[in-house]
Amino acid sequence: MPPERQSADDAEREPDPRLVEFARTRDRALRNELVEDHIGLAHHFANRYRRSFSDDDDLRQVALIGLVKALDRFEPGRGVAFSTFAGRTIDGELKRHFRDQSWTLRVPRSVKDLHVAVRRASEELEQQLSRSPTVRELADHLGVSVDAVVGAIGASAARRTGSLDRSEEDRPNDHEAALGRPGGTGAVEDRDQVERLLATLDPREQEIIRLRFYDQMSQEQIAERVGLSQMHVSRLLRRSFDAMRTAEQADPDPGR
Amino acid sequence: MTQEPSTHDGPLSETVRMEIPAQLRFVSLVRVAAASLAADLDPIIDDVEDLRVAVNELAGLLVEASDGATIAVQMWTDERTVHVSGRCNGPSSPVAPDQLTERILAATVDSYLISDGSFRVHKRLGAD
Repeated sequence: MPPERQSADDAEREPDPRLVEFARTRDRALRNELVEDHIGLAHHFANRYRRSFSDDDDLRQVALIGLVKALDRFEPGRGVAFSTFAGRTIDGELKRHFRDQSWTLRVPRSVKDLHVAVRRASEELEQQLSRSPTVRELADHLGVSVDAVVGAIGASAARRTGSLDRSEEDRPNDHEAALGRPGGTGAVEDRDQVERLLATLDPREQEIIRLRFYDQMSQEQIAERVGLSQMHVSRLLRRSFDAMRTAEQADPDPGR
Repeated sequence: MTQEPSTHDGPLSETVRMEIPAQLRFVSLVRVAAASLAADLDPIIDDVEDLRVAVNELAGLLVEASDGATIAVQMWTDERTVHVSGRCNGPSSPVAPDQLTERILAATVDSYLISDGSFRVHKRLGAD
C-alpha cells in the first residue's frame, strides 16, 4: 500500500517517507509537493467554515497557510499521523481567521499572555514529567510554534529587566524592599506607616497593594481577582509605590 | 551576480545582523531571531507567526538560490513594523519564487521585494 493511502493508524507506525525526508532536509520543492498532495485536506477544512460562495478563496488561502505551518512543525516519529496533526493546525488557523467574529480560542493572543501561559505550562509539565519540559513540549502543550515559545521566553526576559513584572521570582524590588516583603510581619510601626500611606491611595489601588502584601498574591493572581491585565496591575503597583513614596517624603511623622 | 538590498534605512545602532551558512537547516535561526525581535514589541502571536512563516520562506528561497557561501540578514524595527532584509554573500542563481511562495507571502506580510540574491520584507504588527 503506498504511503499516501495509509490510514491514520498505519501512518503512526510508518509515516510517509517524504515527511521524514522533509523534516530532515527542509527541501522546498519537496515541501511544495507535500502541500499539493494534502491540499485536499486543507480545502476540506475550509469548506467546513464556508458560509457563502464568496468565502471560498479567503478560506482556502487561510487553510493553505495552516497546511504550510503544519508541514513546518510536524515531527515524524512522534506517534501522531500527519493528517491528524495537519487537521488540527489548519482548523486552528481557520478559527484564528474567524476569531474576531466571536470565536473563542484557547491560545493566548499576545506574546505577553503567552509568556504567562508558558510559565504556567512549564510548571504543569514539570509536575507531569518530573523534569523540565523541552521547548517543543511546551509548544505542543500550548498549541503554538516552537518559535512563539522562544519569542515569548525572550520577551519575558526583556521585560523583566528593571521591571516590576517578576512575580515568578517574587524578589522584592526597591519599592517593595522599602515596604517589606509581601506578607512579611515587619515592625508594627512599619505596618502603621504603610496603613497611613495606603490611605492616600484610591480604593482600587489600596486593594491591589493589600492583595500583594497582606495576601501574598502574585501580580497574575491579583489581575485575575480584580479583572485587569497583569501589566495593568504592574503599572498600578508602580504608580501606587510612587504615590506612597511621595506621601512618605511629605509625611511629617514617618512613624520611625 | 548578487544585488544588495537598497539603502539600509533602519537605526544602525539597533540593527540586528546575522550571517548563516547557506543551508536550509540554518534558516530556523533567522526566523527565530525575527520572531524574537518582533516579540519584543509585544504584538499578538498571530503577527509573529506570520512574520516567522514569511521569513522562513524568503530566507529559504535565498539559501536555495545561493551557490554556497553565506546569507547575510539584517533586521530592525521601526515603531510597529519589523523589517528584515537578506542577501547572498557570494554568487547566486536568480531567485524565483514559486506560486505557493507568492501566495504565502501575500497572506502573511505587508510588502516584500525579491531581487536576484536578495530580499526585503516588512511586517506591520497589529496593536495588542
